[in-house]
Amino acid sequence: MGTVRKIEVNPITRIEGHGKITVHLDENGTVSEARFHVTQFRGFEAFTKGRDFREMPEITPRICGICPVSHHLASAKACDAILGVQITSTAHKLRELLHMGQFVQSHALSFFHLSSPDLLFGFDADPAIRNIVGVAAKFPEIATKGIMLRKFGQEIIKTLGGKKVHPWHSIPGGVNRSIKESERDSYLKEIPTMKGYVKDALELVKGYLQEHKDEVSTFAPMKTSYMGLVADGFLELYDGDIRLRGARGRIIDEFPDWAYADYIGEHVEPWSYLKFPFYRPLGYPNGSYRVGPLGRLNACDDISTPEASEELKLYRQAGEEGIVHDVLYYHYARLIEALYGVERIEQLLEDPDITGSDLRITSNELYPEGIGVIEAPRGTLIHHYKVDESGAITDVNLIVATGHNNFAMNKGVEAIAKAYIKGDDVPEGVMNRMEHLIRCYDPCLSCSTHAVGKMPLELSIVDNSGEILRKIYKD
Amino acid sequence: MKAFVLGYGNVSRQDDGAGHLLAGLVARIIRKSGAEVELWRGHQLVPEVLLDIKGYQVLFFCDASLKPYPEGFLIEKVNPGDMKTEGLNMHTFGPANVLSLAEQLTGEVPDAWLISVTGESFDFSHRLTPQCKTRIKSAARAFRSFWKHLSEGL
Repeated sequence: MGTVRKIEVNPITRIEGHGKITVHLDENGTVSEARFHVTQFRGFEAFTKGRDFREMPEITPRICGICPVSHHLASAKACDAILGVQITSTAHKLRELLHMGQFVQSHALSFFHLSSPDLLFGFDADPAIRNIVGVAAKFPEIATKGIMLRKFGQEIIKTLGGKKVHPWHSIPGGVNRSIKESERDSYLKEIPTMKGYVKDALELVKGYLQEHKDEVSTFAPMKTSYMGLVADGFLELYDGDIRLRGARGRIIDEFPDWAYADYIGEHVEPWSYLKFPFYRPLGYPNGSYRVGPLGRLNACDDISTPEASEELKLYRQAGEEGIVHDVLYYHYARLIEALYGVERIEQLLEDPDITGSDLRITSNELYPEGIGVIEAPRGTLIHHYKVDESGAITDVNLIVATGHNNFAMNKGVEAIAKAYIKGDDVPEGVMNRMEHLIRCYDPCLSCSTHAVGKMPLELSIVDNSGEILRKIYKD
Repeated sequence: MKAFVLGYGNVSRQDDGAGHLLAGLVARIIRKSGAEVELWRGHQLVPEVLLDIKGYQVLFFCDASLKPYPEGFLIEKVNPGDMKTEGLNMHTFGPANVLSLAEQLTGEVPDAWLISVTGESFDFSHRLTPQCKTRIKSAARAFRSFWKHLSEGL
């Protein structure tokens, strides 16, 4: 029995929701193991049982205040399947427009507000300046661009869904609102400016990756498989097949989203409420993979919009045989997707269908189950419902994006801990590297109660008898 | 005088949504006094709100709190320098952070107050607890006097 001490970092700052990192040391002060715990239990799968399935697109966005649109859309797709309908072309495009608004605002939040402080000031900088307010003080132009880009995405969500958080737009069988020509024109006018903001951010992140090559290549190095939706091989965020690509670039599998349960299993660990999804044919943990921006850009062959496609070519030069493994490249991948999002918004708004009025298909059919899969900003999101003959929910399975990356986050935290921690001396820069590793995956551990969310940062060092050796608080 | 009232919190988590109701009451009091007022409600404060507050002279932030205030609520002045930067995330992006960002990016810092109401329960529900509702009413009554004095002095 070598483990004698335990270090806890609780909660992690600048992550939406709350998590806890535990580092186990052996008797020599060397890290033996590290775990990233998710200690919150939402219970949506349990308490939605008995509700009418038509309510699910309105209930499930409450899981999250940052990416409610993703749950809203995945839920609506599952409900479409229960009704047995193919929604109209206009409804499909309007849903995708809402989705792209979500991608742009969420990626802007992740990069400009949460991650850019670490990149601009460095991991070892004073925590008092290493935040969005610090960025505003020293780099006001960057902060302003982040705010404007996020606002652009949020306004699209508000226009279609009535409000920025927890919008109500998609309904089983379609959508409840189109976009007016005046609204379309006003967003189209902003496209060149928004593209410019994303491209400026791309230059910033590329400069960082170039200047910090050593840190990038040694920052929790890991080679995994990657998963994401594709349509004819192209990056797809709303509706496609699920593709799994191996670490050396080979396409391991590609299957329809409704068949996910045949291919994806979920491993459970007693110390975390978040499950560990894996690719069934390879088992756990060999079948573990990564999702999200890095996963999607590795899984797809190309991107269908011209400027993001060009950027993808540059991005892949950093990889081995086109596959990019370094976790800090998540930021670069995220911004390429933001560029795709802005381009896709432009394409959708220029499509005459987008102002159409054929919004909803009605149906008297009631199939016993429905599956909806989309790409949330953080990765593949799966909603699976079963209903009885009256349409009441009997079973719900939700596989959230953060879950797919659970294994990678744990291994990444462990790699950082092993690289930097010796004994119980844990300088702020090291703690922040561990936090930043988690932030690369942009996990959403759910942000249901912001008042309760105001918790201090607590670090505990505990010996194997349970005695607390040291406690450090951060207000 | 132009006032901007911000009510925020998660209305799906009982008293966490107290700021939404309180903000409506505060805005009504200001409007009845003849002043110009704009009302903003949100899940949580976000950086882009500073684009909305531009040009307003006075801000009122309405929020739920875990702190057990003796009167059930607290009205306090907020300054940019009050912000807590360590551990900052979107959950902890508070009124002082909004003011600080506004100062950095727009050069304008309106006078601002935070009205906090002690929450009783934060479980899954759209209904405020009776205790919290009572505290909101008390806070609104106190604000009526506060506003009278403040607007006379401005």
